[in-house]
Amino acid sequence: MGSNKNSPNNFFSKVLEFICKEELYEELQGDLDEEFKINVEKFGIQHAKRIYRKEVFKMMRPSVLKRLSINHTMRTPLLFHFFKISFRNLKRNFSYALLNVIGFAAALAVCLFCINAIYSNQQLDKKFSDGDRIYRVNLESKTLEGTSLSATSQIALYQKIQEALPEAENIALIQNQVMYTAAYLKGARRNLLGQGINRDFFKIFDYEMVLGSAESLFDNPKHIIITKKVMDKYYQEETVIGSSLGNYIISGVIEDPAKVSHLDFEFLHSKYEDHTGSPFYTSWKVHTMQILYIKVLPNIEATYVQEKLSQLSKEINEELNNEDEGIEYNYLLEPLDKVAQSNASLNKGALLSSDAQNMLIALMIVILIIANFNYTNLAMASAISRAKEVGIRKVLGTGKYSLVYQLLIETTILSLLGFGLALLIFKLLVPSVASFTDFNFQEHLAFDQVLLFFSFSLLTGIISGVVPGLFFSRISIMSLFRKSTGRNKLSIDFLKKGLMTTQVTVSLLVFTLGILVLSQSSLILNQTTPFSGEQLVALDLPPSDSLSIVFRTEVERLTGIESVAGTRAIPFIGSFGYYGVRKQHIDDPTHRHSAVILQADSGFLSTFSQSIEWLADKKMIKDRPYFLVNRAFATSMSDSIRRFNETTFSLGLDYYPVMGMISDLNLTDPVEAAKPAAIMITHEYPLGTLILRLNKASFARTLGEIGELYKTRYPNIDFQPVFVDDVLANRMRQFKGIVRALIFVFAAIVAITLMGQIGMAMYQAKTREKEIGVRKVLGASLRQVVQLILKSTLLQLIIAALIACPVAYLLFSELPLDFAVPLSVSTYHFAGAFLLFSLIIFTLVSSQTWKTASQNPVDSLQNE
Amino acid sequence: MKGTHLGEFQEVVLLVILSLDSNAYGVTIKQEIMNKVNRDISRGALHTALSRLEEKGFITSEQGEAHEDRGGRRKRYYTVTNTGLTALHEARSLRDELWSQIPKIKLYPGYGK
Repeated sequence: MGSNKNSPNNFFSKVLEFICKEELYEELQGDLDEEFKINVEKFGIQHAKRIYRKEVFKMMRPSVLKRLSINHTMRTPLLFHFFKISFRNLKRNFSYALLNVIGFAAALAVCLFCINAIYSNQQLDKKFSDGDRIYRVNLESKTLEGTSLSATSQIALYQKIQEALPEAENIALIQNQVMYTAAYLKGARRNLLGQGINRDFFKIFDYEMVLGSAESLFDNPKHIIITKKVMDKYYQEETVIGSSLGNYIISGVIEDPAKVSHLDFEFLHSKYEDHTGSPFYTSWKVHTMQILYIKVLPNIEATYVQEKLSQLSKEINEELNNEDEGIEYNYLLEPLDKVAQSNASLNKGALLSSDAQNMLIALMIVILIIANFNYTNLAMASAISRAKEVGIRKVLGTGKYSLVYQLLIETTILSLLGFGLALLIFKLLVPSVASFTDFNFQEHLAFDQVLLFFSFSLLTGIISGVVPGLFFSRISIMSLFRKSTGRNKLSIDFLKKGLMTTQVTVSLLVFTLGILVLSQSSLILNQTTPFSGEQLVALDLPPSDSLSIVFRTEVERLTGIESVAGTRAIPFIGSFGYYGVRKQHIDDPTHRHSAVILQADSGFLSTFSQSIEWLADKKMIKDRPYFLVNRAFATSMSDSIRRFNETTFSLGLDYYPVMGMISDLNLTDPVEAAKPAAIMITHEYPLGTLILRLNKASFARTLGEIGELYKTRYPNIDFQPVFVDDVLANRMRQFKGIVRALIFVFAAIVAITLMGQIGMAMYQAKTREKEIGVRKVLGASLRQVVQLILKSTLLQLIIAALIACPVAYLLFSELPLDFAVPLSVSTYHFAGAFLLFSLIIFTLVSSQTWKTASQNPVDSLQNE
Repeated sequence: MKGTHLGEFQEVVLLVILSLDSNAYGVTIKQEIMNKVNRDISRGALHTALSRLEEKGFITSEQGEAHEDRGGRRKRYYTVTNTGLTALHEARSLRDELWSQIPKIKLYPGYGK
């Protein structure tokens, strides 16, 4: 035999063998082999192989190709016949089919929204020029607590970057000290989210100006630029420029940032702190007040810039002696096209971080699996109800696959109809869903998204047609007519019951999980905070010790003021830096614990008095600073030697005791479990921020008086009071957005499974039509009939509960998050979910049975 | 008449089979067509023509001997049937008749000058 080199291509020979009719193969392959040998001598091996390959391709013609079995059965008249039967069946069971279609369409529509949200998120920030040269500088802080990445960084970083990075063509700042400005718009007090920016902001983020110019912002410190959304809500386009908003004057209108970028604000102003500003804000410990972006010069590598930033990080850490406190700052570049998906915390706006996107994709897969299961289940049930018809056809000699094709056509028509309906639902609901959840949605879908869901619908139709079809083609004819065959476990009856129980179990599982997740969310949203923020107004004072003391004294004299507290900053806006706290009884200077500390003066006690649980006699601490700690602090700071209230703590110099507890104080993320935190009551006057408790009855008047006093003492600075209740409400804003989205998704899932239940109830009623008719004839009352049906439903529910409840519990406890108020799952949750679900199921089954039982028994006992 | 009609290529194949006498099988038929008629056809196209001719009854086939060059596979030899011969003659006489009806002046522009 010749070597491999001189034989034709093995692969193509196999192809020929695969496609060629058996009776022709020997002749044709033989001829090709012989010709190959001749060609090798004439033209050489390569050319001969080329000719061979061409010959094999040209063998693809009807006279040579094997006949596929489909050709036997799928001739056109037969296909047409199948379609006719399918439409007839669908017409006969119209409501059942409709239910199936709607349930499937609902599931697809929900997934379309989810995938659209992810896609829209990825489309953000694409409009800015030179986007590939724009980066955000994130701060990675390593503390004793662990490592965290935040989108915000310290105010003082700006000057450092200016000095260290000549490669930065532009450096844009966004600052949040003046987060809200209160203004009376359309007759009510509104708080608008504003951000301070510098000139380079527009050089990096070249948003479209709807009215006015971007430069106008810097002509006058009173100028602001509002978004189109704000203009549409509160102003007229013709008169908006020059109108006032609080103490500001509107000089321009900009396109809505949340629609095109990861940024979200309602207005922009030009005031920002620099490195010489207030000592608190420029402290390196506070990193929540500023977001910094750079646009790198052309032809500079990002890696080079990152190296320089890492070098800068090192220098800053050394300068601040961070090592002593166990802190390390690292500044990391994040490219603009990744920012909208960033996992960095304090990313403003309704964005989907990549973690959230993954979770959403996982949810989508779950919904699609449930939809597919639902659909297949209902299709199977529908097929089972036609068992006798199938039996008769088999007796008459119908082919094995013709049954499969029949069901396949029916289920595929329905699933594609469902797909069409899903697209329609999406188109109609996109505007309302977008406003409900704050997320971005594109009005139209991308082609590959549509293709993906079309393929899924087709696949579902195929699976739900093939599964029952194959089942029927294999089952014996007698089993189709008998209710149950003694030995054969796979009787129709058993299958019916199995399907119904499975449907109930899946529905109950989803229902229970939904209730658990929603209970957890509502616990977090309604958690108690030690401060309600009612009647509290916070005011940042410009840095000036003497003026601050004077101002405070004057404010304290106002009749409408109930109490005044001084703090280092407005609590609950973002989070503060962590301090390395040392314990007195531990000698080792490197032994530190991390805690969030807010310094306040004794006025704090009267302003926030109700929440404090005193551990010692207040008289003891007249002039000495002390701590008021939360539960997490108490737990983490207690050790085997001393408990937290038996020792003293230091932030670097002197040691002070703990005098009281504010158990539920949470100065960090309110969604997660509270980190160790404390208020340090100090007598260090004056602290930069005043928290004023105003009398409720004279609130507006007192606020006005404070404003007047402020203008007198600080004539060049705007009076910007911050309402603490708004701040507290806003803390949860993003979480609330997520919860709303979760409610939407869960409601959809529950609705889909319940639709499956309705389908099952209808199916059950239909299949027992004759039995019900006979019972009525024998004298049973309507109530008795309904009770009989409910008895079997109860059994299904009990089996479902035994499976679904433990599974729900397991799935819920797999949630990786550490919540501020963790839900303690108890039997009450499961019992409640089970009872509510059972009530729904009983209602569904009863209503369907009632309908059937109310029919004239003559009609139901007649031949169909 | 339908079903017994002989296409141009089918006519060529029948003539080539006749000319090859007892050595008419796939490879030789293909080669002969290439050499005599200067038409490079694929083996698949030839197979289609052969199977149609066989369906019409113009040729028959039988298996021959195996050969090492063919990977030990047998050849299939084709012969023209009487029906095929008749069809060939008919096609030829039809053509001759059509040719004879055309005035020579049209076929040979310089004729008679």
